[in-house]
Amino acid sequence: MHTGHEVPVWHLSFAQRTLLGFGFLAVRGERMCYDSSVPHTRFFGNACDAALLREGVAEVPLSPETWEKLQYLARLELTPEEKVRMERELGELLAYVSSLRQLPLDGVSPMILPVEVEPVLRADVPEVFPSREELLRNAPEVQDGAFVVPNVLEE
Amino acid sequence: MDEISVLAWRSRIASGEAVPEDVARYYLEAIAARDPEIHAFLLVREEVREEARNLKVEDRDALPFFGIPVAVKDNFLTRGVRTTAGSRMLETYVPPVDATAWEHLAHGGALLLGKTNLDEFAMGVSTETSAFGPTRNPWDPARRSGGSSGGSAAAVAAGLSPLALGSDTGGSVRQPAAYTGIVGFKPTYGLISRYGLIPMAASLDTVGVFSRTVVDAAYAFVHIAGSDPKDPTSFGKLPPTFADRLAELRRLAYPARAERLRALLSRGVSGTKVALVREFFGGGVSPEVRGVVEAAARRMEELGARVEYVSVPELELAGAVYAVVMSAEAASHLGRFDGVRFGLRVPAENVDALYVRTRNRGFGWEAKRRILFGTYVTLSESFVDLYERALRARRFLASRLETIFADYDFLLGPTTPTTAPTLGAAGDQGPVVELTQDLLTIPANLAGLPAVSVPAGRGSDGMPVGLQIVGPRYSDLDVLAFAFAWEEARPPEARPPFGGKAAAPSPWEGGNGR
Amino acid sequence: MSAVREEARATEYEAVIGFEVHVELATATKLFCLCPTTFGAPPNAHTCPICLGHPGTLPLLNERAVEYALRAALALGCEIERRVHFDRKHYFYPDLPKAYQMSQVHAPIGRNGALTIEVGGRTKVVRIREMHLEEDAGKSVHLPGEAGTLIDLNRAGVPLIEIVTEPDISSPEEARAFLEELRLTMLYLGISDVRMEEGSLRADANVSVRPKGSSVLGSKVEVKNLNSISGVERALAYEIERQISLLRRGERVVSETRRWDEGRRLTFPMRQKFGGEDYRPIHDPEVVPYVLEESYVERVRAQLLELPQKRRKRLQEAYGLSAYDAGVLTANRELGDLFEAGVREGAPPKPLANWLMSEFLGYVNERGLAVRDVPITPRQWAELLALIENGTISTKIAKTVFQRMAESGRDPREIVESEGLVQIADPKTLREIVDRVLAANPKSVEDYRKGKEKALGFLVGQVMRETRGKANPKLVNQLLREALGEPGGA
Repeated sequence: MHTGHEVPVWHLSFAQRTLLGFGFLAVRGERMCYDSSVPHTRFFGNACDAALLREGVAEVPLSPETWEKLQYLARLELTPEEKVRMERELGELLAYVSSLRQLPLDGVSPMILPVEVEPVLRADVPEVFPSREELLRNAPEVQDGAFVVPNVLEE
Repeated sequence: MDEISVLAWRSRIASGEAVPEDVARYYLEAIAARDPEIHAFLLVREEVREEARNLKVEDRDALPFFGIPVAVKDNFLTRGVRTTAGSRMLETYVPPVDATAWEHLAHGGALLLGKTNLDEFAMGVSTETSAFGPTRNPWDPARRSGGSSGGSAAAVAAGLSPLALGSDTGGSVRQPAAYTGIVGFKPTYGLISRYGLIPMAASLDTVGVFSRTVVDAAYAFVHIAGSDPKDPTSFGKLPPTFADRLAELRRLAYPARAERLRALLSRGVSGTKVALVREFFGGGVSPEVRGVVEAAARRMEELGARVEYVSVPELELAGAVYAVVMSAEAASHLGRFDGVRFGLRVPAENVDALYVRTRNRGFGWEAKRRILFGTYVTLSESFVDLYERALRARRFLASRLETIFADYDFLLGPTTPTTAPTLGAAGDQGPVVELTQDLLTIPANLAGLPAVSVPAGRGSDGMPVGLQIVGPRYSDLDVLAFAFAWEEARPPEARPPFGGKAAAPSPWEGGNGR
Repeated sequence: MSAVREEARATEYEAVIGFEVHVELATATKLFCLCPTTFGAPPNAHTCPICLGHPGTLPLLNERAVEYALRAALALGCEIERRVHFDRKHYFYPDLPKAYQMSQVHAPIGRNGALTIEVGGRTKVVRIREMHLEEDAGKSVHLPGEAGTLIDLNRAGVPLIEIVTEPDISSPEEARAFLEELRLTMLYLGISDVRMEEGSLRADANVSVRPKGSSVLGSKVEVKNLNSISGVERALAYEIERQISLLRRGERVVSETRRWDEGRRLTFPMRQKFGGEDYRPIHDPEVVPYVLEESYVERVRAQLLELPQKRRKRLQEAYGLSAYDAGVLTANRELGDLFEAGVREGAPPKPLANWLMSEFLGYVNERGLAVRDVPITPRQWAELLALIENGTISTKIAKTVFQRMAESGRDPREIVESEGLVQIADPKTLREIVDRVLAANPKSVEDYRKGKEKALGFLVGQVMRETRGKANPKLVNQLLREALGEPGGA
């Protein structure tokens, strides 16, 4: 039963899954569908602590074009010093999540909400928000009710 | 006045022994005495004294939270009361609406004691990313209170408020509760309306509750749970028995509701099947934490629970899935802070400069990193391979957990890998190591499961250790019942000290009653 | 454009045109909040924390907007995506409050549809690649000089459907036909008032040219700021010509976005944004994804009114109307409804059609009225036409009767009787009047007998005057001829 190859659990029948549960108990600690050589799994493994974890995670470098695009899309601009630190940290994170790319996920659809929710739609009946004053009070600059911003460059 | 649980206060108010104004004053004085050191609060409302005075005695019996002061994490909108989300971006923001969760408490007679400190936009594990300074752990000021709801946790732990609201996206309620030795409860996703909760990640966030006792947490939970037309995700498909149970409880007024709750929570643990998740006791978890939790597991076995080790290797994925999904949603949400309609604006000669300067100044480091990372994982070149894969891995993980719950009633394990780290421990460790603080709590958010952290004992450093109980969806009352059983049965050394003193609760004071 | 050039154009190059059309849905509230959508409110009077993007707010999906979008997708023959699910298109612009637009990138509600158009007697199918629901952005008004920009978010959050065609359109004329048919279809669906001048119908065109017969597409130019259907025709004609000229000179057409300037009648390049926008369309987790029931989709489909194309065809077949007449009666849905109702009451189709298209339409247009504002019922129309047909009144008198009917809503028969408008068709009575007129106008009689046909017309006119228009003109004509004898005769 417990073969160690990568079998997505939901492909198994209920009976098989139950046996699998027992299989887990019978063979404690043995991995089933995961590659334990990937660095971050050592957190849950028996070998090391956080320092070793840090050591084990390589960094993925970002190209200058990607970097520029990211800053533009996020409307952020880092100083050169900040950039050095940020690149290192982002690289670490990217290495950490890269294991997602190898997962066998055939037939699994994306999960957008973690629970099933009844869709409740709204009737098309208008209601004016009662307090415009409170609504606009936080605006940095207002003129005759409109928000004022400095020049938009295009057009 | 030496009892500081919500129900203890409520009982004294009901009998006339305590007057709301005195309760309010008691807490304001406690805050004045201790908060300068702890910095749990970003805003304290002296007005609560007058509001307490103005409460109508004839409402007393009808309102479950009559006169009870509550501290609210500063990412919950409170109408007319400044809400900063711990960020310079919203330093002067005054919301036009109330968060539903707070509104329920207010309608129940509760008083807004103040807004508590948090990691900026709830992004962090230590409340150190707050733009307004960190919150210190009441047990040891050199340590963190945890995050992101560090302020709420510290407030309750230090006796500065009997109850606090927090939000939990990857453990932001349970983890600080464990670090500060109190109860932190995270319900099933969607049970409590998120309207008015400034989101970090909309598909992961839940409103959570901090309290001294499990019954208090349950009492608050029942009061604020419920579908809200302003939050479309709050219409979950509850099993009929659970829905009926909640409805029944909500129909009851104060003493009856508390009694009924206590009765429901007292069912005991005999016959329950508990899975001790192997991966929750892995190498990254400190031996003392492991020891405390294993001792707790043995105690529960004595009470009749069947405890078995179970391996869930898929949990290894949780951190990566969380990092991608949470960052993508957080980056998306933070785009609206652009200096145009509300929040900080840094003057500029054109709109693009306005955006960049405002966002550069308004956001702290952690926020910027999550925005950049979230942007990266959703770029067209990564969209399918990282972002959508993470969503699919999420379902994979959630279904695996569901399979486990077919055979077990609860998962058990430590809430955090270590006791509270020192302030500044983040230092140069990098984001992945920081993430490990939340690895034990993240799975419950990914799968939308109810989970609670209860104080389980102390580490060799004298700092609190939390026990985490996770249940399947909509088993909130069962999870709380298990936690209640632990609370009743735990040995004296595992009980956090209670006592109404505003002074720091000494870890070495002999265990007193509740 | 000279004839020579036009001919050269026609033989060398062909245009390839596609559209992205936005239709503003006529719901009472916005797509995700309860703010009213009525036009003309002061800046930001129709906003709330949700559409202003205040943190902590959540989107509340408008049921009617989904239904309207479904109607459109069904009407355009699309494959219906029953999963309703929104994505966030991220970009920064001051009129975009959340810094993302809610749209349907991954699961548009309709795909692979088509709209058939008629140009120059030929039909053509324009394929619809996809259509989806999305929210509108606000409006920005640039202040003069460098004083800044005013942002009004009343429009932010209004529901739109975006319809994207395949590049199946080949000429400005076809573009016009497409937009007109699309417009009419939306009107028939009752989901929008689709006025380009007011912005409830917006179109951006994608234009390229290529040597005739080539299967390779040329560089695509996006043309924006098209504010009327005529404007679209003009802009496309200009742009096609511009691109052909470039190619003829051996130059490349730059793939870019250009803006149509109606005043100067030309397109000019718009400022290029940064290299590539990446919308990062994450699946929105706040609007609960759900699936439309089959039964619901079928119910909406069954409730769809007959669409213009079908109606035109049916009017021709069922009533023997010409294509032109069918077109006019279809172009105004209420007019078509009135026509059919009138026929059901017994009015003869062709005469009724003529009356509605000329007298009636002239009447309402002159006064800026809608069809429903005129209090003439279908039965009254039938009655009017019957009175004409059985000779009770002449066509000329009928016009007067119509006026009275339109003003008062009274029955035609009642008007005729009370005002004594019954046609005089009794030969004996008319004969007397004819004789009187002939006696009073000897010169005309003389002229007519000398061969001047026109004199007859004058004499007919005189008889009509005598009878205050009530004489049956045909009979008068006949009697006069009898009395006068043949022209040129003695």
